[in-house]
Amino acid sequence: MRNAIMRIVGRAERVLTAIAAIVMAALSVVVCWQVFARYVLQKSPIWVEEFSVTAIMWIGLLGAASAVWTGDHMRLELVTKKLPEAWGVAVEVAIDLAICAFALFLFRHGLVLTQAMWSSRMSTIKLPLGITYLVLPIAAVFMIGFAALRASGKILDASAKGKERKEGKHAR
Amino acid sequence: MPVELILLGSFALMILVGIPISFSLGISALLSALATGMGPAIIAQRVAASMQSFPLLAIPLFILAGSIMARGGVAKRMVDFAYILVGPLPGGLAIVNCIESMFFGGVSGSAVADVSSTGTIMIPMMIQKGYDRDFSVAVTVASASQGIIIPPSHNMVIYAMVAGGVSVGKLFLAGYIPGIMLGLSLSIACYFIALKRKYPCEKRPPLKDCVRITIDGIFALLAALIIVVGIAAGIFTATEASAVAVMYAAFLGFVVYRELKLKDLVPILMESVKTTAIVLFLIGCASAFGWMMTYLQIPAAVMRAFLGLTSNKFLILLMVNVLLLFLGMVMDVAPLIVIVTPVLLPVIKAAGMSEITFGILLMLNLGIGLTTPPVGASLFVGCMVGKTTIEKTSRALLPLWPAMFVVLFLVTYIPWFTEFLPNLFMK
Amino acid sequence: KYNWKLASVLPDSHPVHQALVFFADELAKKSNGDIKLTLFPAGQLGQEKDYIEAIKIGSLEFAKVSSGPVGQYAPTFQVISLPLIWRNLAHQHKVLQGVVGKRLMADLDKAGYKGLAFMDAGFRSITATKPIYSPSDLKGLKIRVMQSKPLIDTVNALGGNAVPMGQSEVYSALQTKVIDGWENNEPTVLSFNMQEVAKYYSYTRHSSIPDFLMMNKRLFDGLPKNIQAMVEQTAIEAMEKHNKLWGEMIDKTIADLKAKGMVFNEVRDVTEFQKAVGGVWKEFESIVGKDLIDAVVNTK
Ligand code: NA
Ligand code: NA
Repeated sequence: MRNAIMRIVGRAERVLTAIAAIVMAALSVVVCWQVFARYVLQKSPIWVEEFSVTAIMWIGLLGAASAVWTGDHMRLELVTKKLPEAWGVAVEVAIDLAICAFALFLFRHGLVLTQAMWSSRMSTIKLPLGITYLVLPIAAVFMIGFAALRASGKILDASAKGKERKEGKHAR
Repeated sequence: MPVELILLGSFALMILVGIPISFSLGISALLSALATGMGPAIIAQRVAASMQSFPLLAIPLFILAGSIMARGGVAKRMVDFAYILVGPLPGGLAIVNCIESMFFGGVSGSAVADVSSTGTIMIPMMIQKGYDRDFSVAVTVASASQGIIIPPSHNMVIYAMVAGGVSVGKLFLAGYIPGIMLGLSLSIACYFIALKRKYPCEKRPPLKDCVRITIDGIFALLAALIIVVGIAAGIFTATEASAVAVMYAAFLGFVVYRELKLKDLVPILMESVKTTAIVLFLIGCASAFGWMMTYLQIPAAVMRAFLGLTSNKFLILLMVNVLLLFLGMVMDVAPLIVIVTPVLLPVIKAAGMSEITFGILLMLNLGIGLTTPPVGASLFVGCMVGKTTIEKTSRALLPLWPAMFVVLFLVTYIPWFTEFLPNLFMK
Repeated sequence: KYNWKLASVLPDSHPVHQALVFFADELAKKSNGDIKLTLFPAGQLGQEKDYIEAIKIGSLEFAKVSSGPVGQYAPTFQVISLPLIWRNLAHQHKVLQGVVGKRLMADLDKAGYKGLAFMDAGFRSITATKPIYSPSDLKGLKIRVMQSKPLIDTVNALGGNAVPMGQSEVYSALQTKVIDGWENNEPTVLSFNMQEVAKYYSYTRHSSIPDFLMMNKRLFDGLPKNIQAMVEQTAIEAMEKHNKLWGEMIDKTIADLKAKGMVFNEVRDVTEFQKAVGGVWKEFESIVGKDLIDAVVNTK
């Protein structure tokens, strides 16, 4: 059961990263197109800048969400390394919960922003400005799920280990 | 509890506990926003909207270009070529890393773009030739600071505007000598570090091999040339160059060297996007944190506290440097320029320094700030592309920072370095 | 009692910043110190677009922004950015301080903002590496514009090649000739010292987009009546101060620019330019309404 969940979540993380990767590939093509059009066609595609800056935002937030699952976010490990194991697990879980809390905030206020900006238009691409902020709640949902699952995984691991140790003692 | 303390205290506590730096920045900004009673949505808005900047594009695209070059055999040929030039010299590749940043700095105004593009190539190659990983990252990060000092530099444009119409042309000219000094100073440091740590140097291969390596590497070297010439000739901007670099790297990997297969693109893209996203999210959260710093007027308070301490001109200049270095450690370059310039410029003028020299001093200090923990964009990118930790890189940077401080000291107290070129070319 | 913030992108070294200082000081004086307005100039709190959004979500109380980007949030505001719609500044004052101005403020109110005053920002003209006398001189020139649809369309309609680009990249882009020119008013040219890289200032006066003082609507609506009136009245006084400062500064700015080597020229025939931008007006009719455009044009 647990392995199945982990596999599914792992797959979700890959898909999320893949979407961000596709956006990034598109970005390089689009910006080259801008250079080409400006010189060869003598006409600058006016939507490129707005598209690009929105795309960076989407890459950044979607990728940041998947990095929560893989634990790739940069951090200092001065303290956690030196703690005794049980404490270490407790701190690690607390960290995941902190991530969860901030993501929850991003979700709620990401929705507020999306809503507040929905009636406004982007300047050159005629789409609601709210779309640019829509990535906040989407990425936040993944962050919450990933962090919560990581935390519960760590708790399960720790308690399983604790049980093992106890049983080991009895056997001796 | 004062809100200022909530912001800085909770941030310090959280990074020490081991919460990712990005989340620590975001959460402390959020807590202080809640404490002031202001609508906290601004924190979410800053995290997201601060990524909406066209020049930031250089990070994802240069990292992608670098990864394609590394995987497609392009980077290997570049380094092989560099090695026949500097192989016998102790610390040769580290010195190449420093010199390369002079040229990159000469076309781009962004230190982070330098780390993104050349870091992806130089760091793995230095490691392969026997350098420590952390040292390789540290050299890349430190040398990249030349990018905002050697013109062009969009940060200087921002300074010129805030300072009240200082000539951008003069500022640009003033940046050359200190920028080159920085590169040389770091190169010298690298030379001695390499001697001390006995990093391997190799004899130059026989002439026949040198010729073969050069011919083989011509297309790879052309990549650098295309970028430099393309920007200098005004075909594309420094930011757009990152996209051109991606296309050219792909062209070399697929068509010229044929070491790249279509299916290789998947891992390259997946890895680059992860690296990029972590850095972008950090930049977003740092911007929310910086917004709260500005809003609470913490830099201004710190400046007042510092400047009240002395009236000795020599000490004031020293103090300004310490102050800027300190602020540069926790905030990004552009917001700091607009905050500190109006406050410090009158002080600095009273101490007898010109606004041009101060502009360069500002760039130097904030450039060093990009390499320091806890908030330093160059450091972040370097650690991500070099796959190492902030602690380890910081330790490796310890001998390099003094080399940068020497330049800072010279520029602070000897106006000639900044005033010679502007006086020569633009009276 | 009230602790408010006002954000603007102009540095405090800019002459018209004094109008905002005046606004803050007057509010403090009139309210016997109850109102404390802290200024955050020079883009300390971000870009203009960020201010407008921060005001909407309630994290910022006041901002002075260009009325150009306001058009993204209240579409009828785009009428202000239409090319060559203003005959002169007097015409603009009459319109924006009159019925049409009231109507725009009402539209803005519906979009969730409280508008306070329009402040002069002069006329925008083209600065390039060569002088422009007629639209044909713009043919093939790459002209940087802000990320604003009306401005992009204007430059394209005049025959140029509009290149949207962020302000901090413009100097280097002109230096390396990625672009051949840009468009702005004289003081902005001077504050970035752009005459160093594009020395011809041609008076196309293709648009005039005043600055705009705005505030959080929920905050305003919740204020006691006397404070509301105080804020509105002081904003008008700040506007008058601003316009006076602007007028005094503009001549000095032009003299400064000339001394620094900038070359100014009038265009040959303004009707050529008017003819060229007719399509832009047509395009925006569907967004801002023909009646609104007519109301502006017919204000005598
Ligand atoms: Na540079
Ligand atoms: Na370097």
